Amino acid sequence: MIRVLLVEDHNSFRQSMAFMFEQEPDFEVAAQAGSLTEARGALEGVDVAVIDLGLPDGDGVELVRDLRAVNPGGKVLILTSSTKRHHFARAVEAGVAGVLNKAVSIEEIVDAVRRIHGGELLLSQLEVIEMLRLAAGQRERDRTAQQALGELTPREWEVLRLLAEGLNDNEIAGRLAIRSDTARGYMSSILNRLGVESRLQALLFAVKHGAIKIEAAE
Amino acid sequence: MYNWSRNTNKCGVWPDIYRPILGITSIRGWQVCMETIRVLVANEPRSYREAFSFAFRKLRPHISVVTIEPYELDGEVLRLRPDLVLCSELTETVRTCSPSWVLLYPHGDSRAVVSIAGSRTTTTDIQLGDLLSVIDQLQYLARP
Repeated sequence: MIRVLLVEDHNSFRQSMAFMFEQEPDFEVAAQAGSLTEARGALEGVDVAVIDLGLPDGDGVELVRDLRAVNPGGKVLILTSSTKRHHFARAVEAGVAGVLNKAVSIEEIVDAVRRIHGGELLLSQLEVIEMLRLAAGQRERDRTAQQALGELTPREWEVLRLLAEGLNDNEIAGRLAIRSDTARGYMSSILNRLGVESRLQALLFAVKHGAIKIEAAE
Repeated sequence: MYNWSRNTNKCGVWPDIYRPILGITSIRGWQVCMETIRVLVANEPRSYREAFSFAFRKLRPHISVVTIEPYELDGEVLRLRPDLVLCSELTETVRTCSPSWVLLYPHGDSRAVVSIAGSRTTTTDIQLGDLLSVIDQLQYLARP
């Protein structure tokens, strides 16, 4: 009997998947969880954990290490709706046994869990190597980006935050009680340090690397 | 077998002439459903709609469940006149031609919007049991 843990914050899908697995004679749903926190308390005795990549309290790959600590033979299948290869790459690098996009059929998911439990890898050796290279490249790009953001001065951070609020150079100058050409100077320095060519690119850079959050409009 | 409940102007009208012929004089009589309700499952992604369809067929074997690709939604709503549509994108056709619908996880959001005969509720934590309750409600409303 393959004991399965399902970790997915879309409850209705998780419950439907659980129902489906329970109809299979060789599966038992050991537990279900809607978050990393819930899942961490349910890893005991799990053979295969089917985990959503994007959970409300973190990245699903974080459970790989936790599962191995409780059950060294436990395996992880990541499900994701992302089509970004670096998401797949990060999961492979973390040591998951397989990654599937949620656009596959439900039968493929069930079959993948069987294959993983049987010791198969869903990716070929070449694919794994490619994913590892991709993950390493992404890590390097992230490191470079964090370094660039770290070089911004406190004043430049203020300017960047005001840019994220939608202010133009004159409005930024007014808010900071500085001259407009001084504000433009700061902006020019920001673009230079981040290696981008426009205010929009600077904003996207900061958001992409977690330096700034854009709040939803009310 | 006839379903008398599909009577919106845009999507097909049962002419009033049939009512006296068939002895149906009240709105409630007009809404008698002589067949099981039909649920059209067209949400994204594929694994979700297949999982829901599987669960509905097993747990509510008396209903008709039709699973389609999202791009087929408008055409199939007009063709099949489902009692309930599950979708990830609310089209004008669904809004106007389907008596009830559930908008599930649009753009991967956690939110769902349930509309039963025009009455809407929004939730961020919809469960499988909630979807089955919607089906049960529609089955109850469709009873003779």
